[in-house]
Amino acid sequence: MPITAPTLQAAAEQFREHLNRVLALTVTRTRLVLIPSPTLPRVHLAFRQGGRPVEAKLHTRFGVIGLHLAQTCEAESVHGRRRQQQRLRTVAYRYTLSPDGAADPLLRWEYDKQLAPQCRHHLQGTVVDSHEHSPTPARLSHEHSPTSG
Amino acid sequence: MPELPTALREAIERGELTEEQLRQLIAFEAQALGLDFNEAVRRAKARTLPRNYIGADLELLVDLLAA
Repeated sequence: MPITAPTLQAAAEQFREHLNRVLALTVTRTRLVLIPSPTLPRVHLAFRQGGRPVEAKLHTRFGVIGLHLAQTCEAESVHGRRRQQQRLRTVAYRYTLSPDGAADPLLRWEYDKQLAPQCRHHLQGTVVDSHEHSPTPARLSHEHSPTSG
Repeated sequence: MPELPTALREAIERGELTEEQLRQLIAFEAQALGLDFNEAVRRAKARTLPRNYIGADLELLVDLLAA
């Protein structure tokens, strides 16, 4: 359901509160913090503590997994019943899942409205191909390997 | 990543950053990746920052800067 409000800031606050409620009920109480651009009609949402980006620690049957969520939204003007409203639109996001203590994520989901209409899924890490003709480890972090359609 | 200055932390909590404070935050996150501000902005625009969660966050923060 689209989120609309009189201003981008108000619409983004609604979205942040909604996401924080859903996340708290499902996976983490780590809170999303909103950073509006000082000059552009754009806002940034991410897990932060003390202003710094953090991973939410998820306790799973595979051990502790770090989840990070960062998202950028803009607004488009739409006609409301009485006046113009701002409808929130996601323009980019970056979600990562990292095993506890790992320097790099194992999975990344990325979306850029400008670059591609669909989300990019990435499986990360260093994979050693045992084939004798390709002894160099493959760095999946530098590839765009789809993990689903 | 080092602790942020109180004024910057409070501005983030209020959701009211100035352009200078946004640049300061970007510089802090860049420092955590071993980069300076200019290099971080260049690599964010080229989508070549490290593929960890700080790099991911930084990439989108740079998109908040005035063009």
